[in-house]
Amino acid sequence: MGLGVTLTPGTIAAIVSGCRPRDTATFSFLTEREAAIVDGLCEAIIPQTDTPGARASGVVHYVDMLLAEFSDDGERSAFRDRVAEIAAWLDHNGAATIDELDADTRDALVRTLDAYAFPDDYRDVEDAVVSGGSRVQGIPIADPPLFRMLKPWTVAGYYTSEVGATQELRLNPMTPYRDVPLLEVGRTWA
Amino acid sequence: MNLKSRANDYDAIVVGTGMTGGWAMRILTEAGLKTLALDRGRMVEHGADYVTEHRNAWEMPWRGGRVHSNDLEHYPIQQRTYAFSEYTRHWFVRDTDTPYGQDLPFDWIQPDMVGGKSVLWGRQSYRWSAPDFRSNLEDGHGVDWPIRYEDLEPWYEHVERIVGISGSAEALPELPDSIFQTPMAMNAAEKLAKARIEEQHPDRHVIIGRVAVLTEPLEGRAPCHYCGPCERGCSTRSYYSTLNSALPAAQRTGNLTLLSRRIAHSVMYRDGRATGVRVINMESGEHEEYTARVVFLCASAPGTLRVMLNSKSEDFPDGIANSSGVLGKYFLNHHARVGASGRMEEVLDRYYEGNRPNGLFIPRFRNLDASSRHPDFRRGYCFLGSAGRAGWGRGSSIAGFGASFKEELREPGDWWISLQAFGEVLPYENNYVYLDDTMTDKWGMPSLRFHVRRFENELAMRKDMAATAAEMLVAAGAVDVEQYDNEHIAPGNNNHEMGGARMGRDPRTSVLNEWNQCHDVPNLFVTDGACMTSAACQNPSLTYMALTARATFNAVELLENGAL
Repeated sequence: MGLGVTLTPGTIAAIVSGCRPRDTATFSFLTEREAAIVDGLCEAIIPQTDTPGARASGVVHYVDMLLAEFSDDGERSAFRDRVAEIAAWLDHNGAATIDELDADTRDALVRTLDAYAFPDDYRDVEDAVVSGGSRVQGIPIADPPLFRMLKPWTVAGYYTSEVGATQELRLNPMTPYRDVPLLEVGRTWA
Repeated sequence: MNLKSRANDYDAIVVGTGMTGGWAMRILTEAGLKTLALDRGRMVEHGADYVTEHRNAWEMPWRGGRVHSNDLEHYPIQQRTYAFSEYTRHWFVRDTDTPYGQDLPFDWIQPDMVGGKSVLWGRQSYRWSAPDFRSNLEDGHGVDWPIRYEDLEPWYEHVERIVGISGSAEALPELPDSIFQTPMAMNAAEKLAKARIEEQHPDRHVIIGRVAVLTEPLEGRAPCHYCGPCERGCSTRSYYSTLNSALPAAQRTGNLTLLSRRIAHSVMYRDGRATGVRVINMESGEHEEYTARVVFLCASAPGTLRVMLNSKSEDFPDGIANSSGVLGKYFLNHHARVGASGRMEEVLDRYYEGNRPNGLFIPRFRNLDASSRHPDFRRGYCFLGSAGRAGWGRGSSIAGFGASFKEELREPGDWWISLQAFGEVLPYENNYVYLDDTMTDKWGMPSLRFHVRRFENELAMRKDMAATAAEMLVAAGAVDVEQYDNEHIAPGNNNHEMGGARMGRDPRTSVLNEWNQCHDVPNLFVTDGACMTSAACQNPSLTYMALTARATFNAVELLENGAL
């Protein structure tokens, strides 16, 4: 119990292998710390599995671009506020980034943010958000919910990336249109 | 000096190089006439200028989809069309350069290149039926068409042999078959929906779209390779457009001069005849004059009306060929953005392969005869629709994260199925366009102003459009069926604007005769959508092309006989 700030072997390996926001990359909107937090959240939403995840496909840069070029000031400041609240919560728990949390705590964070944003899809919203993540662990939730912005941006940023479209999914080939068994295709078209 | 050798003198001038201008230029040049084609759009080099063709999302600066604040600033109207995106922005005019007036909301979607909207169009192609040409006569709205289906039938055949339409022969009286290439395929959900809808509603038919996209080679153009977004441009010439077909054919004759970046300012007129066209050169700002024995206006309905209204003379103070006073009036369109959608939880073991540039079509089933008479409205509507499976996009608005979330999105979701109705708008004197005294475009050409709304017949029809769409989706087995009526989307948004220079027998109530020839000015022809006397509900471009082919061959004959 308690708030884990354990550097698990997996996390160390990930850091050492360079799977983190590129220090040399410039961001148009996000600060370095914001980018690190966003990157961690994106990777939690779409992680590395048998195919690369959001981090490897640079989703944080896509999110940064959207904030810089497409969001209005209201959205920018809301996003910034939500990330700042998470940054403060991380600081309070002695972690610089999402990855430095132990797996259970990271899971509680993401689950709380997700349930707050998509309450209709959670059977135990009360538990996850109110009695669980928010009340017990002080995970910050506020309006507009962060994941209402970050979930669609992460999904779009990943599945329109070359990695997401060609390794995780498949590009629908340029062949005459036909009705085929799903098993023949095997996965969603990009 | 031999006047005929002046560089600005031609046998024929065609204003506009889109859907109909392409046909006029081809027929005129193939008949041996020295033809000048003018377009306000920029020149396009086939192939090389299709700069976003086959580009993957990750190869685009903004991943292809979004409307940027720049777009909102420079393209406030153009960005409203479904066809506008990062992939196609370069095909549209900048609204800030070409403003127009709206007495009532009207989205005027305007292309900015040679080829016009034939580059962008949805390619859906349907013949009118015999009753469509008699609608006005039968219910008294508008004036009677001066032609019947029998007059146009050979010309539908003529253009279809060159355009290339893929579709299924159905022998439906309300929707005559075209000359078809192999039809495209339906997916499993569409097949299921078709079977169930037709079983429960034997008077309704669900067919694969009839689309101007090749499934077999034609005239050196290759069959479609199913990359998906035709509107980016097609190097293989697989869909019909001026760039893919009419322009190279015209150029092969050696009789074509094509001048781009020329705004048609006015038709020059003297002593009962059009003498040529005056244009604004968009690069120099200067006015240029070109003379010809015959002038074809094919600049799109609003584009042509704008030129005609701006062509003032002592004989025609209210616009050339306007002794009737109806020029600009009885402006038509189709009303749409109404229908239904739902979800199908069956045939989940089926998927599809290939990116089909086509969908489903449901021909009109209302007000065809006594038994299909609807108490609340006249005329009718058809449906365009399709089914597909939810993809990764559904992940944007659902709970879930981590490996299980990713795994879930790796499989396609349920089938979605949707139908959108397109309805005939009646001819109303109070739907019209006119020139705006207070506004010009960046080059000094007076702007057009639209005064167009939906009236009672359209509103009553929309209720039925949404209801029958939902009824059919429920019959198809869909769940969570929802109807919609996006009445806030302005007329014009779904294109198909037409009318304003209608054909008719009586010069007192129409602008054009049965040959698309101005009653008042015999060597001036209008063959684009402006000529339409009624709108029917079928996608109109095939009919525009057939009318153009008929009118142009006739004009050539008149010229050869010395009648013009």
